[in-house]
Amino acid sequence: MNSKNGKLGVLVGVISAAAFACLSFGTQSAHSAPTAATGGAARMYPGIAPDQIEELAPGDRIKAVTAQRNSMSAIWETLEQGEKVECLDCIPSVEPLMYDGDPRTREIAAWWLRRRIFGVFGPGEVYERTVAKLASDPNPRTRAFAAEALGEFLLAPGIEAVSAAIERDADPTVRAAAASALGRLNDDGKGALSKALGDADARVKLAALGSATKVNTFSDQISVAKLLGDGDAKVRRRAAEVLGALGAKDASAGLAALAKSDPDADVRNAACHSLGALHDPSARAVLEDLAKSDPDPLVRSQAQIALRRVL
Amino acid sequence: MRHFPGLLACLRESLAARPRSLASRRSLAAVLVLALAGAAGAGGVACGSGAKEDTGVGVSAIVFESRAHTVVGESGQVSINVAGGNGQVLDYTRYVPGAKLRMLSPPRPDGTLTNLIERYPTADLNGFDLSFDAKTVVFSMKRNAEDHYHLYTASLDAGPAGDHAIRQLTGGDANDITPIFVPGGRIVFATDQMYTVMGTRADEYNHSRAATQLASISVDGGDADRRLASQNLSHTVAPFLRHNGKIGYSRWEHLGAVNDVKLFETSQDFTQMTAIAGQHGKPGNSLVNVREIEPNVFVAITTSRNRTIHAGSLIKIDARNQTDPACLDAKVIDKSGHACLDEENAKYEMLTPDVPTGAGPSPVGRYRTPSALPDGRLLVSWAEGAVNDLAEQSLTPPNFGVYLYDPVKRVNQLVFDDRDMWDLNAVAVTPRSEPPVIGDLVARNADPNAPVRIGSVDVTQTSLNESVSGGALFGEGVPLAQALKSAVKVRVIEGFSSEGAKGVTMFGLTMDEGAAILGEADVNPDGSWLAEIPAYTPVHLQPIDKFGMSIRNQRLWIQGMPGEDRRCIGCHEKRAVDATRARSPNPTVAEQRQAQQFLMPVSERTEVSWTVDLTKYPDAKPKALVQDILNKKCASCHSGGQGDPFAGMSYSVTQTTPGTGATQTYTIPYLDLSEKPITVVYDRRVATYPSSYVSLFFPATLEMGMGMGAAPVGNVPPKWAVVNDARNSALIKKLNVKAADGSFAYGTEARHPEDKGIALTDEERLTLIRAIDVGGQFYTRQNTGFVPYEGAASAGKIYP
Repeated sequence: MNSKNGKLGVLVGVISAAAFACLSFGTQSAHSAPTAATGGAARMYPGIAPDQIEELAPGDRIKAVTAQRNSMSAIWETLEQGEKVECLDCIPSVEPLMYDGDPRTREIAAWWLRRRIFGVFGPGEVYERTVAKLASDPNPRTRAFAAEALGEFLLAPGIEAVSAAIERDADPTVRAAAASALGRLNDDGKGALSKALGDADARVKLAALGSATKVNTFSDQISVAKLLGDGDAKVRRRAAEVLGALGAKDASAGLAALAKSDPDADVRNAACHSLGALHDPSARAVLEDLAKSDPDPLVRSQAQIALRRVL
Repeated sequence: MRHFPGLLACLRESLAARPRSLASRRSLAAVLVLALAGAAGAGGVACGSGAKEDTGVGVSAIVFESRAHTVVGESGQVSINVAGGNGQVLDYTRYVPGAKLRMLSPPRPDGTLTNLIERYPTADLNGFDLSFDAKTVVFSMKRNAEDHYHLYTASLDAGPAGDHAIRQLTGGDANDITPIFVPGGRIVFATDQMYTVMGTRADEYNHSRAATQLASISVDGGDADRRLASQNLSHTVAPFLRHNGKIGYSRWEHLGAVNDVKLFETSQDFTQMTAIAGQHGKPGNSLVNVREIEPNVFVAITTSRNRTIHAGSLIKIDARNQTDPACLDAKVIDKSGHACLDEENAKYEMLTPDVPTGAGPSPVGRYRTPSALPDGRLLVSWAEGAVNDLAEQSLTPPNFGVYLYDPVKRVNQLVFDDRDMWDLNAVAVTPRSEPPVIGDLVARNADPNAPVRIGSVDVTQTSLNESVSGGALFGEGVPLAQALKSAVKVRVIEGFSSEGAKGVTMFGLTMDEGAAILGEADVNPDGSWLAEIPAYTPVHLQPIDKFGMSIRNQRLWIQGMPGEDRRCIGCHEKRAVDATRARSPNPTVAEQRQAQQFLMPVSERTEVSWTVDLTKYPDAKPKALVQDILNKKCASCHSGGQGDPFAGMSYSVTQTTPGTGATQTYTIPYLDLSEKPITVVYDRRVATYPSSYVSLFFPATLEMGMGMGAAPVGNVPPKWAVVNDARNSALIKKLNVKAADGSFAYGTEARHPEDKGIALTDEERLTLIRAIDVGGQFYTRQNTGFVPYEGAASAGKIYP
C-alpha cells in the first residue's frame, strides 16, 4: 500500500476541479433530471413517481458506451438500465465485454445478454459460442471467463458445460471459475462440486467452498470436512466456516481439534464460530480452554461467544 | 510530501456548494490558479488560517473511518479501486486493504491521530458507531481478502498494553456491516446471512451480491444472541437510531418498475417495518446515510443509485406532522398521544443545492455521511470534483475528507483530510442520551413458523390522491377512494428473486419479480379483511373487484416477523392520525370471522406458470399452466392457420451487425396463442418462449423501449397484456368477464370465445387475469423445479 498524490497532484487536482466546475456547470441540469430516461417505463407502468421509476438506457447509449469502454461504471449503469430495452444491434458490442479485464464488467455483460429474447440463445449465437469457448478456446483466461459467463447466464446447459470443465480442464483457474459458476447456477453439477472440493489446487477448492453454501441442495459435508486437514490455512478456515453454515454436526469433533491446535489463528477463530453454530455441548471443554488461554484475543472472544451457544 | 491543510480548507470553502453564476465560477477558477501559484511559491498557508487553529468543532475528539482506495503491489503496479464501490448505492463488497479506525483529538488537522485497529493492517471497514457513553466503538471489519465483514467492539481508551481491547462479536459465512448501538445493550446491523427457504437472495437485480437485511446481536453475547429481521427482495442497509428507540434504515425497493431507495423504520425486535420518507416524492432517487437530528427531522444524502460512491447532496428531511403544533414544538418532550410522523407529506430541503441529485458530474463536489454535533452543526465527508465515473476514467480517486458544513453560508471548513484515503462517518466523541428500550412485540425465540397476521380495518380508507380507470366500473377514471368501494377481495402476492427459479434468465418480458399468490382474502361488509401469511416473506397487495381484477397495485414490499400483527387501517390511510384512535374498539367483521389461512408451502402456492419444459425441469410440478388454457380454448383459432382472423399478420425487428453490416430479422406474430416456439428467418433459430407469451407481452416490452431504437415494422398489435393492469389489457377486454352477480366488466354481454361457441370457465378467465395482474411473469418456482434451501430458519435449523 502506498500513497499516490504528491503536492503537484493535489494542485493539479484542485485546479482541474475548479476548471471542471466552470466547464460542466451548464450541463448539470441535464444530468440531474430524473425523468430523462424514464419515458418508456412510465408509459408501461403509469402512476409511478419519477423519483422511483426504473430508468431506461436507450439502445444508442448502450451501443456507444459499450463500444467506447471508457468508463466501467458507465457500462454497468447503462446495461442495468438497458435491462428491458430490446436492442439487437447492441449484442455484438456487449458480447466482448464478457471477456473484459474487470470482473464486474464481465458479470453485467452476461447479465444483460441473458435477458435478451432474441440474438443470444439460438444456434451459433452468443450462448453457444460461450459454451464452445469454455470447451475449446486455447487461452485459459478466455475459458475461465466463459465459465464465469455461463454461471451468470443461469441456464441449465451451463451446468453440464462447467461440470465438464471441472472434470477435464487442465488449468486450475478455469476449474476454479467453473466451480464458482456452479454456485451461481445453484446446482452441484451431479457431483462436480464435490470433485472440485477434492481438487489439488487451493484456488479450485476455495471456489468450490464458496459455492457449497450457495447451492440450496448441497449436502456433501464429508468432502468439506476432509478439507479441515488441508495444507492451506485459507482452505481449512473456509471449510470450517462452511461446515458451520451447513449445520454439519458430524464435523464437530474435527472442528474442535482444529480450534484446539491449528497454528493459524484465523482457522481457530472460524472453527470456534462453527462450533457455536452447531450448538454441540461436547465442544464445551475445548471452548472453555480457548476462551481462557488462546494467544489470540479474537479467538478468545469467539470462543467465549461460542460457549454461550453450546450451553 | 508536504500537505497544505489550511490552504486546502480555503480552497474547499471556495468550491463548496454556494450558488454562483457561470461567469463568477470562471472568475473563481482564475483566482484559484493565482492563489495556488502564490501559496505554493511561498511555501506557506493561504487564507490566514493557521494549521494549529482550532476548527471549532466544539468537542474534544471525533472518530471516523479512513478507507483505502489505492494499492501499490509488490512489483510496483498501482491498483485504484474507485469503481468497486461505485456501481450501486447499496453495494457492500468493495474491499481494499489498509483501512483505519481513527480518533482525532482535538478535531483539527494537526490533532493527534489514534488508529484503533493498528493490529490489522490489511483490514477494510464498513461502518461503525459510538456507544451512548462514548467509550466504546462497534465496527464492521474485514481483516483480509479471505475474510468476511464481521462486527467488533473496541475501547476508545487504550489499555495498559496500548491496545483497545478489541472483541469479535460475529463470525461465519456472512457479511455483517454498518452496525449501530441500540438501547438495551444491543447492536443492529445489516447482514447477507441466508436463512429463508429462498436461499441466497442474490437476485437478478442485485446481480450476484446477496441482498442484505437487518439483524441484531447483544453487546455481551454477539452471535449467541443473533436475531434476524424479515427479508426484503433487495438490500437493506445503513441503519440509524431514531429518537424513540426505533431503527431507521435505507431500503432498496425493487417492485416491478419501482427502483429506488427509501427510508423505513422498525422496532427493535424488527416488527412494524414501515416507510418514514421517500415513498411519496423526493428530490433524488435514493436516500442514504441518514441521521435524525431532532424528532422526525433527518439529515441525509440524496443521490443516484449508480456511479456516485454513495455520495450526493446534503438534504434535510422534515417528516413531522405539520398539522399538530405539539409535533413542531421541540419544547414538548412527551409527544405520546400525538402522531408526529407524517411520511406521506415529508418535506425536503436541499442543503447543498448545487450538488446534483443524479449521477452526473458535480461542479462542486459531493457529500457523504453527515452527522450532527451536539450544537446542531453538521460533520460531513466531502470530496471535490466530479465524484462519478469521470474520476474513474482519469484514475483519480475522489478524496473524501472530514469537514464542518455551515448550511447557512454553504461552506465547508476542513477538520481533517488524509489525501490517500476516504475519511468517512465522522462522529463526535461525546455522550448522548439513550432512547428507550422498546419491548418485544414478538418473542425472541418465537417459532419461525408462526404466521404473520396481515389485514385492514377498512380497505376503503385511503389518503392517496389517485384515480382508477377502465371497464364498466371505472370508465374514464374515478378517485381511488371511490374505486376501493368496489373491492371484494385483497390479493396477497409473495415476491421472490431469480434464485427462486433455477435456470431462469429472467421471469419474463416485464420488470416484475417472481410472484406467487398466497391467497385472496375476502373484504367484509365493513371493509375489513384479515389473513395469516408466512413470516419473513415479502408480499405486496392488490385490492380486487368482483371480476377478479386489480384495482390498485400496491408497490411496496411488506413483511413481518413470526407472530407479528401487521394490520393497517385502510389502503394507505392517512398516516398522520393516531392509529389507535382510528380503530374502533369493537372487532372488525374479519376479526370475528377469524383470519384466513394463507400458509401453504411453496409447492402449494398459486403461481401462474405459463408453461413447463419437462426436458429441462423433469421434477417440476406446476399447479396450473396458462398455456394449457390457451391450447384448449384459444389456439385452434389463433395459431396462424385457416380461420385465424390474424393469419399472416406480423411485425418484425431487425438487427444489424456492426462491421459486417449483416442483418437479422425476427418476426413476431400479431397474435399466436399456440405454444410453438418463435421461429425466425435465419438459422432456424428457436427462441426461449412460446408464441403465445411473446404475442401477448412483446408489445409491452416494445412500449418500454419506444423511441429508443429501431421501430418495429409491420402490423404492431394493441397491448394485449398491460403489465399489472388486466383491466386495461386488450386481451381481457376482448374476453370480457362476468361477475357472480351477473354483471359484465366492460358493459357489454358479448364474451369471447363464447361468441365462437367455446366456453372459458370462470377459473380459466381468472388465471389469465392473474397472469397479467401479478406482472406477466413466464417463470415461477413451480415450473422450474425449485428446491428450498435446506438450512432455512423456517426449518428450525439455524435460528439463531
